[in-house]
Amino acid sequence: MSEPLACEIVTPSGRLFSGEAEYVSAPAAEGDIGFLHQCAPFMSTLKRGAVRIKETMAGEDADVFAVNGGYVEADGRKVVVLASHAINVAEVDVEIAQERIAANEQRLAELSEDDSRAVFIRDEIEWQNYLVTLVGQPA
Amino acid sequence: MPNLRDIKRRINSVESTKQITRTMEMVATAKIRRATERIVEATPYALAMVEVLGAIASRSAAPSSPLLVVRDPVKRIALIVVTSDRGLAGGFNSNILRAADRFIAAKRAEGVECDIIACGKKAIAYFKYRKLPLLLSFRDQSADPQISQAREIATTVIDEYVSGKVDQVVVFYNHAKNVADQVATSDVILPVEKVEYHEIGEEEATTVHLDESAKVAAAASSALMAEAKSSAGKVTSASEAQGDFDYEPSAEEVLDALLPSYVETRIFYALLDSAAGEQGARRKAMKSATDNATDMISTLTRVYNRARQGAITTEITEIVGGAAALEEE
Repeated sequence: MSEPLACEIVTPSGRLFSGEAEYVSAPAAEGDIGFLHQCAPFMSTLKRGAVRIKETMAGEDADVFAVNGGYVEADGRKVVVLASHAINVAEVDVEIAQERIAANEQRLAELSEDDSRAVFIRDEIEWQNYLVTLVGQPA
Repeated sequence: MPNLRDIKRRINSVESTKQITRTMEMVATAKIRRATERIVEATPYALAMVEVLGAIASRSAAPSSPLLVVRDPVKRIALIVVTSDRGLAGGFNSNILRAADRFIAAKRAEGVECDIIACGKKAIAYFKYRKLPLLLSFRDQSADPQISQAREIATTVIDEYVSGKVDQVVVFYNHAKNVADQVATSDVILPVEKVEYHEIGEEEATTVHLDESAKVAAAASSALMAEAKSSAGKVTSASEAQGDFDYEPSAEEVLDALLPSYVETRIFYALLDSAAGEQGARRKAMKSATDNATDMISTLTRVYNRARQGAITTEITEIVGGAAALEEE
């Protein structure tokens, strides 16, 4: 096993993951990017997508986190993912997600056309939809 | 002489008020813990963001983002006033509202107009009563602020700022200095000043001292902060060392995306700070209310006993007097 990479995923509601991994991939602005130990310093915005953490290169994904946009910073030793919303895919509850989609669609229907809040609600619906599809996929 | 039954009724009423205030005090104490934990939880995110921001900002020479441009003269200011939804928290809300009111009055005198964003029912009621228009208002969220609320506020003020409708954005909130003390604070959040990058870390390190149990976290976060600072310092002193970062799409674009998130984080922090302060203020207010009730009960009990004793004495005197009068006959 090559040298491990420290990895952190932080959100405003807490540190979601902090540990070591051999390989981390993130959905960067211009496409998914993978990080290994001693990779070149890199910083990017993130799209909505999945951050995958592998303890060993050959193995399965140890942890998969869904992020709703954010930032990634890597300096060869450490990868830091900053996300306003993130969740471990293993903890996603499809029923709750679907309830939220329904609740938000109702809120959206009640708002007037030009309400500034509609943007956020649509984003929330898309995010929850994304979570549902992510869970639906075989790992 | 006060009526015995009236005094008894008052004692009972004070007693039940005391029960309520004591319960509220205990509830607030429990909630302080939760509110403090939320601040501690949010700290790594804020620190990481400050670190990233510091690294980029010191790299790009000229402030390209409109959020960094300082405008002069300031003609219109957006005010974010953070209060609680519930009362019974002592001077918690009135301190903030008074500070905001004074600020508005002072700015009016200079010919500067103010737009208000009210967070918390108390602020909404206050400004509605004064017939000041509200740009945005939030209710029922003061005890449990969500990042989505901060995002909504941030998006609105950034839009207003970039479009030139407002030239400055100021947030008024109660900073929970420690469990007992709340300081009415006002921070300029737009334009973003470069010096500010470090402030959030320092501010939170003091807030974290709220609770004994949070001390460990405080130590951890101050260590992190030192790290953030030293790395930021490294960049300024030897920009080559970290200057070879690859940015996607580009350094400027990352900075442009990061600044709104930074504004959002600062607003979120103000909301969290205020939520912790609210519980602290309520506990203090309810503690003194409970103490006052205890004092009042003991005073009233004394009055009650004296009145009862007085009544007994009068009765005895009457009986003795009556008996003596009978004997004389």
